[in-house]
Amino acid sequence: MSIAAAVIRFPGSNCDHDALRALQLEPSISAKYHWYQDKILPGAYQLILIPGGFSFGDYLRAGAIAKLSPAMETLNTAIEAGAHVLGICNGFQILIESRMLPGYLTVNQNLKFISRTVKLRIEAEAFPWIKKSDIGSSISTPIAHRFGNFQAPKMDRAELNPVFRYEENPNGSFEDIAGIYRTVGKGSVLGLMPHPERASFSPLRLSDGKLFWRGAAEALR
Amino acid sequence: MNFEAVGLNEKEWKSLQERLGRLPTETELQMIGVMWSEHCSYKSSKRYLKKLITSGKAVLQGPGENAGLVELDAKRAIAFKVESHNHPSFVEPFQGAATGVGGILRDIFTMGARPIAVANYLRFGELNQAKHQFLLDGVVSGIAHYGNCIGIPTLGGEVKTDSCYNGNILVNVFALGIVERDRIFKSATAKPGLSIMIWGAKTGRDGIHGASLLASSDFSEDNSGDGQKIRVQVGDPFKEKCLMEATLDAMNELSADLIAIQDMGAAGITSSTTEIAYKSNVGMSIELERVPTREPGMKPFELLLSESQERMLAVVNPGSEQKFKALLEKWGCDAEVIGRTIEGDRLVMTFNGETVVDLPVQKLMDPPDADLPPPDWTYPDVPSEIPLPSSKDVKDWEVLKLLLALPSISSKKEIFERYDSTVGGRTLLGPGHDAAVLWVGATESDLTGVAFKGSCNEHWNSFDPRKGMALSFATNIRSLACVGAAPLAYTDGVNLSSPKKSSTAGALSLGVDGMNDAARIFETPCISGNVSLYNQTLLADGAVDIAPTIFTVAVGKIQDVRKVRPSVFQKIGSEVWMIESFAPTSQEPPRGSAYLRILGLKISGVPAFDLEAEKRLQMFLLKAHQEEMFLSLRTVSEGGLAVSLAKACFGNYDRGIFGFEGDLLKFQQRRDSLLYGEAGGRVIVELDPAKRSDLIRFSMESKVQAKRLGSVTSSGVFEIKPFLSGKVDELFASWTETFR
Repeated sequence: MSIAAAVIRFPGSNCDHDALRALQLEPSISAKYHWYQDKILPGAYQLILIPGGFSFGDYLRAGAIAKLSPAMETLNTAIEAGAHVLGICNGFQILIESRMLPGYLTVNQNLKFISRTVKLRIEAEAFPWIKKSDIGSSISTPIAHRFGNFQAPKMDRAELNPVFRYEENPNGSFEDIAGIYRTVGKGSVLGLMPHPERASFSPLRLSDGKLFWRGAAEALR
Repeated sequence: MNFEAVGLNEKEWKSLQERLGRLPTETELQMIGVMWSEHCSYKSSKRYLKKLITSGKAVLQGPGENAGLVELDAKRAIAFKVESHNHPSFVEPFQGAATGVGGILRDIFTMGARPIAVANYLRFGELNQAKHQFLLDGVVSGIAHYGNCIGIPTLGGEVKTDSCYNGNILVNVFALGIVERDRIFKSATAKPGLSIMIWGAKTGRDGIHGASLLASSDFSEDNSGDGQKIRVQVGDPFKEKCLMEATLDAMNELSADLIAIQDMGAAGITSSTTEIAYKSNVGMSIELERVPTREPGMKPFELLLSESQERMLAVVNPGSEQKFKALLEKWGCDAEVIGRTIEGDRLVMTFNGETVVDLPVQKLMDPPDADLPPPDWTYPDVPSEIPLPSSKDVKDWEVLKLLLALPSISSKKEIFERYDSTVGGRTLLGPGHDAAVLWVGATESDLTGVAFKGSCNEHWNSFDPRKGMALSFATNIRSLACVGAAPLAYTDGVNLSSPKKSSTAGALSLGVDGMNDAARIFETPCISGNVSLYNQTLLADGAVDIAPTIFTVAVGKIQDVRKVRPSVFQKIGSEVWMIESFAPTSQEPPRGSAYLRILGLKISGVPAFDLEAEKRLQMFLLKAHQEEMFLSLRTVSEGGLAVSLAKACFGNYDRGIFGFEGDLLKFQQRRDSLLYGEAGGRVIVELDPAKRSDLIRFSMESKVQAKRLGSVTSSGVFEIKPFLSGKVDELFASWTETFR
C-alpha cells in the first residue's frame, strides 16, 4: 500500500507544484492536490502538505482567509485521526493563524522580503518527517518570505518544541527558531519558514530537503 | 472632430477618412487612436525591425505573436520575450513595474507556456538624487510584490544608472516559460462562427490612454506629474495567479474547444479584438454591455480603452462556453461571452442595441507610414589618442575600488534578495551569477537546463550602435558558453528617443545591423521583442535623450546541468588562467571602458573585438564544459580583468574566503588596458593544476590563447603584481557599499 499524501491547494498557493514534485520523488508516496474548497475526510491522507505562496493574495494578513476554508476547517479532525501535516512558509503562517501551532509570525526585522539560502540545525525529532538520528545535523534550504519573524508570547513558550533553528538568524525570529512541531491525537503538525521542497532535487546541488520525504516514506512504511 | 486628442496627426486623420469613406464615430476614433499609436502599431520602428534575422532551425514562432517560441526538445518548447514599462514606471514606479511583470507573464502563458523565470533590465538616473532613490525602491518593490506573489522566480538582470536617465527611467522585463509542443495556443487561429469570451478581472476605468498617450509621447515638464497617474494601470498579482492557473487548466482540459487566445495589455479590448480579427482574418460581432465591469456607467470608449490588468480574450467553440465558465469561476475569475466571430472582416460593436463601432479591420490595422526623417548617425568626437596616466596620478588599488562601487558593477544583494529567486525548485544559478541557469527536467534523470543572459552597454552604443550592439550580443553569448549553454534564440528590448529625430532612426538602424552581425555569426535569431520610443525629457532648455539602450537577452540550452560551473572561485590552490581568442594591439587604449568613464571620458569608443574570434572562444568553452575542464569561470566584461578577478574572490554574496595572487609583469599590453580594458573574447578560468597540460592542448586545438594569471589563495590578499595589492575585505567593502 502506498502512502496517501495531499498538497492542499489554495488559489494563491505558488509552491504547490514544487511540493507535489518533491513528495513524488519517493516511489512509496502517492501524492495529489487537494482543492481548498473540499473537506478533508478523516483517514483520507496520511501526509498533508500546506505549501507556500500567498493563499488569497494575503492582502489582509498571511493565512487569515485561508483558515476559514472547508479544507482547513476539517483539517483538525483529520489530524486527530492520524494525519501528519507539514506547513511550509505560507503553510506555516496558515497553521499558526488557525492556532494549530503556537506563537505568531511577524514582519522580518529588516522589514524586507528576504530570499537566500540558509543553514538550519535540526534539534528534535518530528515524526514522521525528521528521525531521531537526524538530530544534530545541519541542512541548507532556501528561505523566501517577508513575514517569517517567529515570535512566541510567554504563555506559548512552554509548548514550542523547536525542531529547526537558523545557524544565522535572518529575520529576527525568537531564539533563532525556524520551525516547530506538536502532536495532536494520532497525528502531528510541523511548520517551518524555510523551503525544503525547493532543495529536494539532485540536479540543483541543493537536495538536503530530501530528508523530509525519505523520512516520511521510511517512517510510515 | 478632435483627432489630435486621441494622438492622430493630420495625415493619419485624412487616411482614416479615405479608408472608411465616412467620418468615424467618436468611439471608433478613440479606437483608431490607440491602434495607430506608436506603442501598438510600431509605425516608426517596423521598417527597421523587419530587417532582423528571425529564422533558424529551432524557431517555432518568430516575432508577431504574444511571445516567440523555440524548440527545446521533441516534446517541449520555450516561450520568451522582453517588454518595457518605462513611462508608467516613471510616473508611478511601484504599479508601473508591477504591471510590467504582469504584462509579460500574460504574454508567456497566453501561448500555453508556464512561466518559470523573470529578469529585469533597469536604468535609473543618478542615485544621489532623492527622486531616483525613490524610483529605484519603488520599481524594485513593485517587481518583488508581483513576482513573489505570483510565484515566478526573479533571477536578477541589470541595474545601471546614468544622468541620461534622470528624466526617463527604463524598466524592461524579460520572462520565459515552457510549453508542451502539442499545447501551443495562438491568436491567429480563430475561425468564423465561434464564441468570444472575456476572462479574468472585471473592466474598470484604469489605464485609459496608457498606450496611446503615455507610452507614445515624451515627458514634458507639464505632463510628467500627477495628471498622468490616471493612465497607469493597477496590478493584482493574486488575480493574475488565478487567471494563469485557470488559463493553463483550460488549455489542458479543454484544449480542443479553445481555438484562439490573446491577452489584454495595452489598449485592452481594442487591441485584443483587432489583433485576433486581423491575424485570423475573421470579423467579429461584440456586445459591449456584456463586459463585466467594476463600476456602473462606463461608456463604450472607456470599455474599449481600459487597460485594467489580468484579462484575456478567448475564442471558443460554441457549446463549450459553460465548461470554460465553470473552470474560470473555480479560480474566482469572471468569464462572459461578449460576442462571436463572423465571416468577413468587419468588427461590429454594439452597446445596448446601438451600433457604436463598425470597422473594416484588414483595411485599418496598419497606420499610414509615419513621415520620419531619414536615419542619420553622427559619431561623437573621441580622442584619437588616450595617454596612459602615470601610476603616480592614478593609484590602481583606488581605481579598482572605485570600479567595484559603480552601480553597474557593485553587489546587488540588497536588491536581489528582495526577489524570490528559488520558487519553482528549478534555480541552479540565480541572481548575481554571470548567466541565470534553470534545471528544467521533468524528473531527476532528465538533466536538461535552460540558461539566459541579457545586457546592454549604452555607453558603447552612444558612440557606435552597430559595434556596441554586436559586442553586447557577443558578451551574452560568451556568458552562456561559460555555463555550457548553446544559444537557441534571443529577444530584444529597444529603448530610444523620439522617432522624429534622425539620430533615433540612425541608432535603431545601426543597432539592428549590429544585432544581425552577431546573430549571423552565432546562428541565434530574434524571436520576439519590444520597442519603446519617446524616451526623453523635454526641459525648458532643450530635450534630454537617453543613450541608445537596446537590451538583448539570449537564451540557450544545456544538455547536462551537472556540468555547469559557477562564476566564483571554488578551491584554494587552484590556478587561474585567462583564455583569450582575440588580442588587441599592445598599445590600444581601454576604449569604451568603465575605467575611462571614472576618469571623466564618458564616450571613448567601443572596445576592440572580433566576432569570429568570439565564435572560436564560444566553441572552446562549450567543449571545455563537455569535458568538465574547469572549477569555475567567468567572462571579462565591465571593469575588465581586475574587476573579474576580484568578483571571483567574493563568492556569490558572502564575504569571500578566497584571495588571488598573480603576476602580469610579462604581459605586453599597456597597463590600464590590461587591468581595466573591456576588449572582447576573454574569460578567466579556475583550473585544477593537474589539468594544466589538458588546457594547453585543448586551447591550441581551438585556436585560443591560454595565459596563466596566478593562483587562488587563502591569504585574504588580492594582489596583481606589479600593479596592485591589498586586502580582499577592503575590495569587498567597496563592492557592497553602493546599494544598501
